[in-house]
Amino acid sequence: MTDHPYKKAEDRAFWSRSVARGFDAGAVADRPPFSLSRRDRFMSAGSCFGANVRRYLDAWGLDYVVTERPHPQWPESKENAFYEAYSARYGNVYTARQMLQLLQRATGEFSPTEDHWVARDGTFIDPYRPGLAHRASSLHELRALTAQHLRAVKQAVETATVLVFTLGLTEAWVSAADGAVFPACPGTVAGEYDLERHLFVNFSVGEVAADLDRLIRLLRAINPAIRVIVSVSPVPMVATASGRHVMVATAYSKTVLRVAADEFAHRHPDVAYFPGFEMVLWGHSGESPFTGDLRTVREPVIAAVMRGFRAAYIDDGQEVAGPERAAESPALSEAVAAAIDDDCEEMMADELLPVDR
Amino acid sequence: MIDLVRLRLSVGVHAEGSREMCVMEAAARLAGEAWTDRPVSVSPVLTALLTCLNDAMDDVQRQDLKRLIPILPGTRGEGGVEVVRSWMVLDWHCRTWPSAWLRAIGCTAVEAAPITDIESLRAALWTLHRASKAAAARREATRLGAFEQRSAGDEATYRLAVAYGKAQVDAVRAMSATSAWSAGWDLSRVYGPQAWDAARDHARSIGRDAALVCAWNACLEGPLTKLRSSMLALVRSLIEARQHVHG
Repeated sequence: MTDHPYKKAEDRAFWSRSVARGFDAGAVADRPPFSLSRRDRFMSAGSCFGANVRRYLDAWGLDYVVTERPHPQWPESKENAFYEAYSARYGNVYTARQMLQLLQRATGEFSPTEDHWVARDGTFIDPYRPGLAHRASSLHELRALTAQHLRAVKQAVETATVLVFTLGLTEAWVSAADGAVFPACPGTVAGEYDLERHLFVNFSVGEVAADLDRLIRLLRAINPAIRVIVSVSPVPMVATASGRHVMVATAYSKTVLRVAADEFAHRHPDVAYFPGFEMVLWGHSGESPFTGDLRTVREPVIAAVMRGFRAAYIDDGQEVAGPERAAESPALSEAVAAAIDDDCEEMMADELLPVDR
Repeated sequence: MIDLVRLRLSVGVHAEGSREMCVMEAAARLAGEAWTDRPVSVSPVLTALLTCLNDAMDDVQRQDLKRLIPILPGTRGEGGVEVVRSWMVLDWHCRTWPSAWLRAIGCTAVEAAPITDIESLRAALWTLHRASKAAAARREATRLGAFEQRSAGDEATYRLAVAYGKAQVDAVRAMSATSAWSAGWDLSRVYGPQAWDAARDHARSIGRDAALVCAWNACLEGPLTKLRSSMLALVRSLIEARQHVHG
């Protein structure tokens, strides 16, 4: 028998030895191009699945950067769980373009034309955070709250040493005026849909890759020391506007993001790809990784993924406890996770959409 | 260099090279620092307070902050100085802010000793609680009086006053006099979050209730003007605190 490359390959190169049996969550990620420690300061952003990051980092006693608090004038503004799940109250950031624009707004490089919506009750809505529980009673209040929010975003990037960014979608709704990306289609969670002013886009690999490259340049400009761990959310789309079956649209979206994330990591020494997507879809045997809705990732699966995250980047030899053990009760932790999932703009839109037949 | 006369301060952060700036971007520029809204040479307590004020003031009031810009660089102090400054901010929020409102509606000011540490903050809580009750009672009396006026048939006047009052109270909120709360946050989390939360709630409710009474009585601008000046005086005191501590 001749010699060949597979003869000397590690077990992790073989599906039968590393996935079908003997699965080790800690062995899935490639060796990262940088090392992290307990001294690092983390921030996170991304889609619903990314909202889990903070829960685990907090439970592990790692330094999770939080820069936004209730505004002193409106402290009663208790927010929906997914707005409190990140370093600042940006909520879920589904696309690379949305993340790029968030930072461009935080550095004053971009000011969307469509910067407020007026609700029927006369309150003012931030189109880029339409699911906020607290609505401004005046445009002046909205501008003060937005300014505070964007300062907090910038401060988080300045303070963190690591950004964990989870890509979620390629489909988005944008303003026809300047391409500003809305986290949810206007008219669903809030606002009013206008055929002339609101356009549907489905980003390609090239567009996502270009946005990620611009994103890392901007991140470095704010904080040259920051590193990025990028991943792809395994959570299927709630709905598609592409005209295709949602399953096909989801496959396209995840594939594009997966390719773009990998290329992004290969191009930049300060970026690592974390395979949470793969670990959820294939890193277990028997049971579905999802709950009954076939979208929500079960907590034990999330825990396994996060153990893999820790093993890959911050393996400090300490016992790993997740929020299910750190919290007062497992039920509480699950409730927080469920609230994050249920309240995200995508789910809100799903609940609010009429069923037209 | 920076032309303070021609400079226009505006809300939020700005891109490098922008002709408009926020107050802290202007201070950073004057200090020769890289473009930022958190200059290293300026006290973090002053930065928290002034960015909050910058964003909450209207375009005209905001320009008053320009005169502070030249004296901001070099104010960052050692840990002890910043702690002293934080207590000064909390003291303003717990005594000066509610007292101005209480006087405006004919109630007794907050009679508490200066708040300089967690013990004095706790000691002030009862006085604040009593004052908030008094302001709430005055507001309720005003509300009942307004209803009587409506029942007397003067519906148009009533509606106009309510609309005016609402807009003005929004303005009070937006003026963000309690931006002091933001600057004192870190300190309160370390020394006594519960006491600070209680004090903040009392001070806020006093401001809200008294502002409604003032709006109804069409005398809102008086306390607002006083508090704006008082806030600027507080900023000056915070700057001077560095000199006192360093002798």
